[in-house]
Amino acid sequence: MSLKQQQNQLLSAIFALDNANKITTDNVTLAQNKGYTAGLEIYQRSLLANANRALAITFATVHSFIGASTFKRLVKSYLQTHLKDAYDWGELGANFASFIKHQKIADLENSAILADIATLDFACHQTERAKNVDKDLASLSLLSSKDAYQLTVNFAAGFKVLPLSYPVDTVIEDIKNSHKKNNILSVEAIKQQLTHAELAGKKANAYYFLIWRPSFQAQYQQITEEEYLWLALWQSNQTQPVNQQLSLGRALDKTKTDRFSIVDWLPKAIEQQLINSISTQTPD
Amino acid sequence: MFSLNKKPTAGLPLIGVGLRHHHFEDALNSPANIDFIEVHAENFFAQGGASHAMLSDIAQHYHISLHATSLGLGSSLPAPQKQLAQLSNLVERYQPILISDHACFSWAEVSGIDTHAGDLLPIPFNDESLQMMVANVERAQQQLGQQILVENLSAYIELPGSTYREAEFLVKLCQQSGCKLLIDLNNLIVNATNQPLLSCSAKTPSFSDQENILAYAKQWLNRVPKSLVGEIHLAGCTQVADGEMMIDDHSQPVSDTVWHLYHYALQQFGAVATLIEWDENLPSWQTLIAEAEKAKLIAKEVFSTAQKTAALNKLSSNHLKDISGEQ
Repeated sequence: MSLKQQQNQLLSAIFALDNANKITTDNVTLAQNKGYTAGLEIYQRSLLANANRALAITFATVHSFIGASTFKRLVKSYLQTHLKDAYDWGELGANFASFIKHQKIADLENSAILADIATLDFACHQTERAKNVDKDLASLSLLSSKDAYQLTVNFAAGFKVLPLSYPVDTVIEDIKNSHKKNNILSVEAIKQQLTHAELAGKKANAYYFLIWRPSFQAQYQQITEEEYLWLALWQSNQTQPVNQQLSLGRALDKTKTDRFSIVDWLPKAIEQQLINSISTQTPD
Repeated sequence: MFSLNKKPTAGLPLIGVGLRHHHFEDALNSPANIDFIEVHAENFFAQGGASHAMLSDIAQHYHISLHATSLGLGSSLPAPQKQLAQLSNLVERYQPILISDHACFSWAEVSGIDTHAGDLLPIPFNDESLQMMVANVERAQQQLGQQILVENLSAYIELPGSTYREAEFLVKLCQQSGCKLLIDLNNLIVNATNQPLLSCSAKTPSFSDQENILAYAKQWLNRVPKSLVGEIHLAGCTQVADGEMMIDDHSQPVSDTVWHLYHYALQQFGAVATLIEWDENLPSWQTLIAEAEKAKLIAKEVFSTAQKTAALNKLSSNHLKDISGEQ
């Protein structure tokens, strides 16, 4: 057996995680070794413990709502269906939210709302890891001295917008308040809260969220559809080459709705430290 | 806050501690008589945020050693370029005095998908592994622009196919790739303890008591030339009953056996940079620093004895010359 085959076999056996799968046709050669099963169990326990620890940090809200034991079971199923392609534990869980959506968790009729909470958790976690962005508040004065087609907006680190199916901010707040009142909330109580929120969530087709990092801790806030469309323009702009960056004037031209007001939005964005600086650019 | 203490005591090894998140504030606010801080590189792979702000503060007060745990230098599937680039960015940013990873594999294919183990998995010690690992170490050193240290592993499965002893294999790795060794003394003790439960090779004898375990570890060290050793790791782990597998969980103070082995290793290798690792069941910062102080005391003892012996030798040699001159 080549080194490559040997390594593939051992890793496949570790990721199988269940006892019943410990010895398969894939790892039968390795399994003949003394102490193989005991050693394999050590690596499997380590994988599960590390993944559980990492995902509990990334999906802190989901973890606190469903409890440690349910979360651990979820992590185990996730590892068996979604292999660990990330070498950095901090990046594990990119598909965790969509995975949750299709799971039956803690007797919940529908895990979609929990999946939305997981999506928000992951977005906040990514925002907290995002590259720092320099602040230059003095540059805001350019807004009054330069043409809008020569200016571009530099947003706070990790800024992003998300459309979700449920008003998760309200749900999270309600459950946290219940936690405070009842110390430890039972799974049944959380289920009731989530079911209640699920019904409430049907009032709208989508709820829009802004996530950003004024300093080190991520913030999130529900925003209007108009604000979402405006900020989505800037979000897609982040991946553009410098010479194709959006100007403030061009962004306003692209905003088709008259229900968005830059005059109302700008002071609010500055106050909540969503904008880090304004810079000049060649007119597009 | 306190002033930077980056000058090691002359003639003694640099002695540091592994820094975990729990101790960040203490490390910044409580002066500690240590020479460097080791951090796990992957904990700083994020592009920005609080972790970098913390590490930047730490780097103002202590030398940094970057200890990677994810490259899988013995993997037949090489680490992605992006992973090496992230480590390289950290090296550029924090200018570590030491960079290290392990003699293990971490990358392999599962169901045809490139998968990371999230762990340090054992390799067989043979020519195929050696060739693979030399190539991976050379690639890492080229990307990072400097020599790296490779650490011996605590292994819980023995893969078949070894044709070398572990120490022989690692020495060949150093000679062929230009890297140096980071010798984890507790890993030697853990492997020797677990040997009766794992051994599938005639080359690895079984041990039944502490004396034999220590003898095995000393033999292991004897096979390594002094010039190839770049760092020593010291750690403690949960003790187990006979017949149970010992796990290197870094959850306890350094054991007496490891302290004894450390004394021996310093005599063998000279003033090699030394690190106290403690990852689980974390103690207070003061307790951790006390472990580093203990390492420093042992080093002082070893090297003052060595100095005295050298001085005595010099004296007696001069005396002999005097006598022969008189004659």
